[in-house]
Amino acid sequence: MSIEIEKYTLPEHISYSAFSTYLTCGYQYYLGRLLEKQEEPSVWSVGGSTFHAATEMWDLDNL
Amino acid sequence: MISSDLWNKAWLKESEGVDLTNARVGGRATKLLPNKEDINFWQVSGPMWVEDYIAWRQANPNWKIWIAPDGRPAIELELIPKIAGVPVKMVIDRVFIVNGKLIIVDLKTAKSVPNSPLQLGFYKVGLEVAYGQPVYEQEILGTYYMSRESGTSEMINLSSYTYDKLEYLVEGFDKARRAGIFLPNTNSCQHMCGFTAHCQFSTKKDG
Repeated sequence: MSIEIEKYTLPEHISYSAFSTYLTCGYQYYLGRLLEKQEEPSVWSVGGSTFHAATEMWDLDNL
Repeated sequence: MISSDLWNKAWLKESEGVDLTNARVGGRATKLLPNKEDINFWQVSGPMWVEDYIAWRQANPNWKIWIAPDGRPAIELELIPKIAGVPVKMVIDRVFIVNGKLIIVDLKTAKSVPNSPLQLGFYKVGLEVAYGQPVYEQEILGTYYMSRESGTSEMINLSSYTYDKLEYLVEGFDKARRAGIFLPNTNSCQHMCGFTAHCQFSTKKDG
């Protein structure tokens, strides 16, 4: 059985995060960023985003 | 607005539509945290980290939010400069101006400071490409705000991150993705990968 790469559309842009994911695991980049497979949710991801959003609100309110 | 209000408001927004019932959790199980860093851990720690961030900001009034040449305050500053002809999207958490120097700050909630400051290097070159001479002429430093330490990590001089270096990396990455080169790294399967269910190469074990 041969393993084949499914057809994919390249995103218009790259990012450091995409580059870093590619270096960690090229197949993870392919599954997540190109095939857009559903990633299992993680508490740390929501928590990290929440910290960013909360501090952003504070900084914007205190310019 | 106090830190717990900020946290709760942001949590509602960021968790909307996300089923956290069986979500992956980080950290290690300890006597104190038998369920590792679960929702309860974040709901207790998060507001404290926000409070500490606010205290850190207030304790450093000379760290001013940089206003970019296009007039935007550098808070979650989104840029899409072209490097090696490839648009590179970046959202820079903060850029401060301190004693005439620009300091790029990335906010981290993880335990450890990244092994490499390459992310900050990307942002440094991105700022130079996006804004040109006014930024290029300034000394640019970088650091991480480590929420668990309630402060910044060691200050890093980013002058070694040049356009040529970033061009090499971006060009190589772009060539590889266009050529369909997506080698799996099974050494990284245990490390926070959320695509196990879709991956025929995965060696990840449950738990």
